[in-house]
Amino acid sequence: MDVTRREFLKCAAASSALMAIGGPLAFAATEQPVDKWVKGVCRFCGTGCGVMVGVKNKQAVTVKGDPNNHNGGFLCLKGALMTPIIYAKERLTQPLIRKNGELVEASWDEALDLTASKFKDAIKKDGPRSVAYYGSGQALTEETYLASKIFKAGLKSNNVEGNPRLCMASAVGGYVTTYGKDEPCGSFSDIDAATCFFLIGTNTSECHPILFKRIAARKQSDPNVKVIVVDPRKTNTARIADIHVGFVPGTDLAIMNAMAYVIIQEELDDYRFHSRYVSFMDNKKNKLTFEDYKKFLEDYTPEKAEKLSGVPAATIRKIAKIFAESSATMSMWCMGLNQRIRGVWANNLVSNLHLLTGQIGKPGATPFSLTGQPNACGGVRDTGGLSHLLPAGRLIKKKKHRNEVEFLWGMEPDSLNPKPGYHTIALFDALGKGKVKALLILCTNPAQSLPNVNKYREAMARKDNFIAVIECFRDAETLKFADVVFPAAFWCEREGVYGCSERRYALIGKAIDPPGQARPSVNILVDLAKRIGVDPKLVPFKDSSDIWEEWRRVAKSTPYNFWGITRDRLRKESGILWPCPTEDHPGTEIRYVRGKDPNIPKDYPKKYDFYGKPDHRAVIWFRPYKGAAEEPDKEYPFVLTTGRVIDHWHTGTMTMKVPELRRSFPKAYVEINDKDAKKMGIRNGDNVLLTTRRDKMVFQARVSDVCRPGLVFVPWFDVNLMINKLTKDAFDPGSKQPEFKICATKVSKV
Amino acid sequence: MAIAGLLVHTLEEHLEDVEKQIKGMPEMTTYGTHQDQYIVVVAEAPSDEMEKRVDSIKELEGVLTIYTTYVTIEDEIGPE
Repeated sequence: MDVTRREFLKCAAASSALMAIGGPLAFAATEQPVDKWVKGVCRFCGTGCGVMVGVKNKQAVTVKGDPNNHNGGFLCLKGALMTPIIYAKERLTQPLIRKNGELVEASWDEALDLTASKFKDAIKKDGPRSVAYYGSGQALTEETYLASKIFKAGLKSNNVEGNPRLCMASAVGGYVTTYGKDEPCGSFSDIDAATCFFLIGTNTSECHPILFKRIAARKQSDPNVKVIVVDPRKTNTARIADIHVGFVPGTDLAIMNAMAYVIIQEELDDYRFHSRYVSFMDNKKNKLTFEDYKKFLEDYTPEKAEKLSGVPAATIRKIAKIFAESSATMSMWCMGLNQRIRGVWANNLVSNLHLLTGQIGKPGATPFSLTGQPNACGGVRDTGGLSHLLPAGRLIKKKKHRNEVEFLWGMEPDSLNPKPGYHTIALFDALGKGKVKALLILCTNPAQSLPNVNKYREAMARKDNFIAVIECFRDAETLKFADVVFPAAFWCEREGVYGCSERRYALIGKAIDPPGQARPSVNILVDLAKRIGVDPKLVPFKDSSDIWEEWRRVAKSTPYNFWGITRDRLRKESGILWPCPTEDHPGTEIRYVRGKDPNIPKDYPKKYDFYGKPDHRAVIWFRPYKGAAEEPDKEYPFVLTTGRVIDHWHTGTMTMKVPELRRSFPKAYVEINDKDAKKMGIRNGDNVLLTTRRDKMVFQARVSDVCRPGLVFVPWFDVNLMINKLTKDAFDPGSKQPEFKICATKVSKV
Repeated sequence: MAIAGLLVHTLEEHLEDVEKQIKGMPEMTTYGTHQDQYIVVVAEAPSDEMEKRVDSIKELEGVLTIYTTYVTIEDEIGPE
């Protein structure tokens, strides 16, 4: 590259950074650095940052932040380094069929016909419940909607699941039980108005870096803004905290109940709000009173909570007062609350604090669940891509909902299967027991991501089942168990929609062609469905834009209504938040508030309307403290927790292909408290054996004060050090989400 | 050789000191301090060294985090 071109690109790089902070543009662009820019959305976390993909000579060569999307042009390094992943040598370019134990190249017809015959055989012999689909919060909205329709309507199997069951199901359960409808009430714009951030069970700095930037910038702009971080690890997020609350893992339910106790004792509750807009309810769904709630909370005085959690009573009092007295408190949480056997309850308890104090429905005041994946919300949750759901918040078990969907899909009344399918853990358990015979996996890697994964790898390895995988990369661990592999178009190689944490739908434009014979997953699914024998009228789709049009119609009569988010608007705008009922509607930042939420009539007599509930009142739940499924004991005295690091994402299938990221974190490690390490004679870099009741594994030690004493942390991206062989597959009885965050382990120096 | 546009987010009291230190690093060009918290930086490095260069900034005292706004690998995959 010549010097002039290089200088030009440097100016373009600097300009993008200056634009992101609204700084003065130092350079007048005399030419575009690429042939064209195509608007899209980042492929990684649930923040859903807008990106612009620069194409030169038909190749994607540049990624920059979209200044018009909510991220204002900012990206994290991981997101900006997408282009090398597109051109990874591990890309799949041709269908594969397993023959004599090896995956060998095959034609599309061979691969599709073989898969279709296996699904037909299973249904003929063992019924629709013997076939299943396992999808992803990284698939496009159109892909999940289509797959769910093919299985539920076309094959009459409700065994439609996806990895959001592993990350978001408890958040869904929390929102639905508290408000009657899924998805957050607020939006990212609340960050700019909040004066208190209550961050619990989220390492925002590493897992949602661009939102962390926005929080940090908000704090720097106003010295009165307080940040409370509640996390057993003192992560990088805690660096901006006014108060970091470390606690015994699993006791946060007691802490939040104690905060509620303090708020009431100090008379910091908003009686006018909760008396008009809130119901009080116990676990048996008995409607009770505020006085009953006060009585329930007597078991959670700060002193009692201190004994359980290790958090000083004075600290609990302090954070409760800051939460309640702030002019606008925004809570954020993620896997720390969701991946628990009482994840739904933990979600309820965050909302309890907001409903008790009236910290909701005002700019900056909102309970906001962060999503782990880029399209868990807009793809799987909204379109009903789970085994108990139908599109737009409808439930399979409700005849009225089934009949609505049957009408919209042009089916005979009462023709959908009324019995919910297997949830994720039950699905892979059924695979192991020979009850599920044919499984289609799209865009996810369960052979690494499931908890207690040895058990489910054995299930996938059974010789008498059939597994087809739609995938982009040949080194994805799950391919070891695949009988057929379909090569898929990746990211900006096809067009489609992502919906991020804040109900924002945005379009990923097609920038380049897929390599070799790889096809868009939508086309693979339609072709496969027809060959299995699905009525062609159910899948009359040429591409994802056809599916989007149907999905708009299916959601139109529901509170999810986004009829106004047309494909044309998506192409022009950088994301729109639903509800959005008409093409001239700007989208909705705050739900459940008259004048803000288009689902509430303008002449509604009250300011708030929690219309998801029959009595139009949100619920403050009496949720007692409940510990983990597997608490530490004499034999296994430490708590093992798992999570992400900033430079890697999920099972590393993508990020380990970027040299910069691979070098940054080449392999998993165990993070251990310095005092614990000293007691055991462990130093940085020493080999440490972790043993749980499931398996054991050796990791190099990283000694620091990040983990509290008694806690160890291992990131889960490393396929060679697969920590999910050690984790436990106990799950929340409500959400069916597994408890990845807590299990008991032994720690010993090797 | 990749080119990256970066925003270095610092605590206000460390802003000037961090900028001085970045100016002393090879193949890093700074484009001023902004809003009492950001430094605009362009980094040039072979892709397998970019992370190391960026990490050397992350380790400076007062740096909260680093955001990327632009990465091109034009001369690594495109024709010259």
